[in-house]
Amino acid sequence: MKSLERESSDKNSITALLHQLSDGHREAEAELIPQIYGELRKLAARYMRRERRNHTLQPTALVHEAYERLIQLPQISWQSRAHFYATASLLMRQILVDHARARQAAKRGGIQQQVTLDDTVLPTTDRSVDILALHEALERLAKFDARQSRIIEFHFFGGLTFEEIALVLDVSERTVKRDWSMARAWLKGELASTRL
Amino acid sequence: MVERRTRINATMTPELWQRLKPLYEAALEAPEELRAQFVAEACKDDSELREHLEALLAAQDESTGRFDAPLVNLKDIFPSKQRTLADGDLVLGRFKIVRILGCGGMGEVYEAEDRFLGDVHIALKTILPNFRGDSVSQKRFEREVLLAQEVTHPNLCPIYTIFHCDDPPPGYSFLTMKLLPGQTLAARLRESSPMTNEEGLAVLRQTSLGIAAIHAAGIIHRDIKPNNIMIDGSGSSLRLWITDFGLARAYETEATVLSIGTVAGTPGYIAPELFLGQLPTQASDLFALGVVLHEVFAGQKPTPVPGTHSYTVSPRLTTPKVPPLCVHLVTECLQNEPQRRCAAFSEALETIDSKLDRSHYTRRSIQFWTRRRFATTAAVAVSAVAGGAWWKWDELENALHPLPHKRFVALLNWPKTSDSQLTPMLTGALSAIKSELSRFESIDRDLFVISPEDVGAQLAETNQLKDICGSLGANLVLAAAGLPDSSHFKVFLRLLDPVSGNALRERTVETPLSAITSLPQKAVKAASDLLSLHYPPANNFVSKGPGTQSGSAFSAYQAAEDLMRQPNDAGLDPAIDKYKLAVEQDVHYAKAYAKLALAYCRVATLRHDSGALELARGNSRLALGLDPNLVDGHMAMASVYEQGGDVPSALQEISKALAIDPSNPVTLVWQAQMYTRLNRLAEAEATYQRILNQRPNFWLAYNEWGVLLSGQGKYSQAIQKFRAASIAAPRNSLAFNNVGSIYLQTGHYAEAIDNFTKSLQLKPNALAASNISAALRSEGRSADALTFALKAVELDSADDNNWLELADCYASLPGQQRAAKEAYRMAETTAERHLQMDPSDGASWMQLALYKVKSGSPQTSLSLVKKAELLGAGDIDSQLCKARILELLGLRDKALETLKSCLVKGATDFQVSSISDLRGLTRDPRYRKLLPINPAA
Repeated sequence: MKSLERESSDKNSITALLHQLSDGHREAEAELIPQIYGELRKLAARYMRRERRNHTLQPTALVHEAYERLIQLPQISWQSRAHFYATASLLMRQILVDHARARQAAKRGGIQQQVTLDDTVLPTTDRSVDILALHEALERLAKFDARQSRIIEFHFFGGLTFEEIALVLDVSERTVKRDWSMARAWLKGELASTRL
Repeated sequence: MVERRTRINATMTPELWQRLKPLYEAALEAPEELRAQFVAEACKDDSELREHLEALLAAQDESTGRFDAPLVNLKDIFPSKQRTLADGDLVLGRFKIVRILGCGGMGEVYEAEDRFLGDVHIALKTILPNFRGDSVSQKRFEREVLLAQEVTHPNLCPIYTIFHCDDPPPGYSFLTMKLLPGQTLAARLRESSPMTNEEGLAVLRQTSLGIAAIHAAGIIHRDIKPNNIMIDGSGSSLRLWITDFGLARAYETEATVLSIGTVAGTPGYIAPELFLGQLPTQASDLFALGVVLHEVFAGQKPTPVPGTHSYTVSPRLTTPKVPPLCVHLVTECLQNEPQRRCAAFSEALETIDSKLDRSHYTRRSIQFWTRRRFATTAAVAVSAVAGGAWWKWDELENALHPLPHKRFVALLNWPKTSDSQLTPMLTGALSAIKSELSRFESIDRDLFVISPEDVGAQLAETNQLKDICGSLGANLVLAAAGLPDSSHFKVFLRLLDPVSGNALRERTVETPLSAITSLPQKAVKAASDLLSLHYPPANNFVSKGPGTQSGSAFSAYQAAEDLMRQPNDAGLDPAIDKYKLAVEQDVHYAKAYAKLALAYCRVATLRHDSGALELARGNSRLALGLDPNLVDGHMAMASVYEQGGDVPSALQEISKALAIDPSNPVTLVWQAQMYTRLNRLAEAEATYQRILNQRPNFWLAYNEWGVLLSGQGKYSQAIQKFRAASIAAPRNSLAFNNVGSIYLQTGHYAEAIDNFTKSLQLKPNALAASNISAALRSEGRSADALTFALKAVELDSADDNNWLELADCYASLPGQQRAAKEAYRMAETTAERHLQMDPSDGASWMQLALYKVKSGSPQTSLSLVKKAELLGAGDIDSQLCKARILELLGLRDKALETLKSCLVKGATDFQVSSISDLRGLTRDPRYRKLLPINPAA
């Protein structure tokens, strides 16, 4: 259980790193990534396990412990939180891609299964997405418009709002909306041929 | 869904994309019917550009898309939880939330101000346990907290108490704890700089001692981990506290306790046997300790053994740089067999105090050595006197050393020590001796006990016993010296002849440190033996226990009492801190709450602070809530009522106190003061007589009696009492002020100035400064007076009397009329502020009436005078003030009438003539005719 820990005294904590990030110290992200990657992987794994699907996933003490190890969200500003979500969405993309590759390998071995995420994560349960195709398309997009690629990533793999994305990228919300619209239109065209 | 589309990425380049961007945006902004036309015009004959743009616009048109809703919503995984409490919330009318410090699945930790304890900052931890509707678990949890609360150790975070709050529904429980500095060990371990060996050993030592203390109390922590350990400082001065012991219980329910496979604790710190369904034990705490220490010394967790719940130490632990003692303890704590962990831990505990202490706690060692040294010198002194044969004293002392017939005993902490732990205990013991032995004074007229603080004297190292006793009027010294060792506290009580310095008799009181709270009672018994008094003195003696079983609370309380004894309120603020500490250590310590309330009352008096009064009220209630028969509790409540102007209720509280302890001289003094305020002067005087019958040499009673007499104009009698008081208390500024006041009122200005100057030398105080000004002014030296009047205002600007004196001063100086008016206005404002706090203060209403006249708004003055008199402003000062108002308003007949009643009451011609506003009146033949009325004249 967390106790009496003060933000300021904890220089290398995720919270502190997020503060640095929101103060414009981009280099903090490099330090942040290894700190949250392991935890995020475990969480993702927990949500992705098929056998969990029919269980009611209680916010058990154990899960909370994981949250808490990761971050003290309520005590940080929404700006810092946006940076956290942004970094986490990057990691979430990696995790899901790794997972999809593993599945693909299994598929070749004969098991028919797509990436299915738990209800807790997915807004709709019947959706299935070709993560790998999306990933590859985003990589291509990044080559000619890195910002648009990140916007899609933030939104799709993290659920960041336009406002949060604008904050993280330090551009206007209007710019984010336009970029998102264009990148989305382009992606649709890209993925239409590989629909799954 | 749109069918197959041309793949456009093959030809897409950053350049092309940059050209597309503005066109795409502009096209979208164009009305839909004109869009095709726009595209055609914008792209002209660039077919590649046109193809891409059209494709993008077409895709954009689709109403549904797979990317509109995110695949992963991190906000669902990392919810921004709703805080239970917001900053500024006031919980249970007592705790004001300052900010959130942290949170977890089980609850949140806030920093809060405790308004009952003078806004001391505490940690407040909300508990959201799983026991909704599970009263058995709830009870068990509360019991566990109460148990944990009893355990006090320097390495444990003190838990104050558990509360329940119903708002917002369904309510929640919360704990209050000490607000610790520093960071968690977990946070420290995450830092890039590794912990030094010195720090590691400090963690090992202090964590072990903390766990040992928890286990000694029969409590299992259940969740030892770096997150539950707070550290502050670095290197050898690292301090550590274990938090949340026993709290893991809150997260267990009957169901989880019984269900197999549910394991309490945090993954990575759970002992292997718990996975087999065994319940947590002290040994499972030690397993977790092993993991924590492994992290500290090796910088990583131990290595899990695949397929088991066991761990082995990593190679990084067994490097030569880690002390073998630590490697051994960690290795053993990580063993699967609980017995091995326990054996290694108790072995480690034995070495911790000796080995680690000496090498890593040099500061402590020095302190220890100092105490040793003191003990040695004390012992030498004692044996020089006692001849080394203790038993002889017991047999022969009475025969060999008869005590003088008159035993005026000075109680001294002697030889003087300034040891911060020793002194409070000794003065606490001496204080108990004084308060209990003074009860003998009523039956033994040749006995008087007095201590230096009664006369405001500080003992300097160079003081001779003879001189001290001279100033106290004592012929015997009861000297107390202390000697703590690791397990006991010894007090040597010696009865000394101050002239020769010889010891006449001697007793030793010994108390185990664990029972330190019994020390004062034992000291009282020993002292009454030494003085051949039969203890207890009377049937009605009220045995006052220590009021707490907590040694640390008791020590803090004694330290506070020691500070409160400093003359002229010098120790008031630190004393409040110590009282607070005492009630933090033991939340049921009624006596400490009462004394804290009294200290706050003193603050309210000195600083005109209404907030302090509320704190006093809250703490008095707490005291009486805990112990309705607590004399100090009733006294504190009486003091609060008195400060608030509710004298009848105050008197009632004092009656309750006296019913509990009828011969308590301090309570009697208060009662007399109350009678005075209620104008029941005969009863007041009778009470003083009663006190002095009981304690013929009790100077405080003389002082108070003197005040009472002077208020009635019985100046010659009053001055006798003050002189008696000031002889007994030659270094107390109060007595000088009072003697000075009488001289001032009787026109002996030189003597008055002399006494006030002495008072000022002892302590800068507004009363003396203001009165010197009044005396100088009366002598016609207004220019000289002004310096003192200004000083008085500077020392205490919240007392309207000081502004009045300044205003009168200005008024008597040529060309200062505007300054005078301004000062009267300040007096007015100050008095109004005071009256908001205490609207029942008749005398203040009367003065306000005067200020109104003086500052140029006399319209309401007469109604204010009426109000003042309804509230009992019948004393001479108030009536003289009234005469002054009437004279200023041109109502001389009525002014004369008022003066007549003043003279009947004992006012002197000096007093009247010294008021410049009444000078014209004193020349009136009708006034001269009144003069022989004064009975004292």
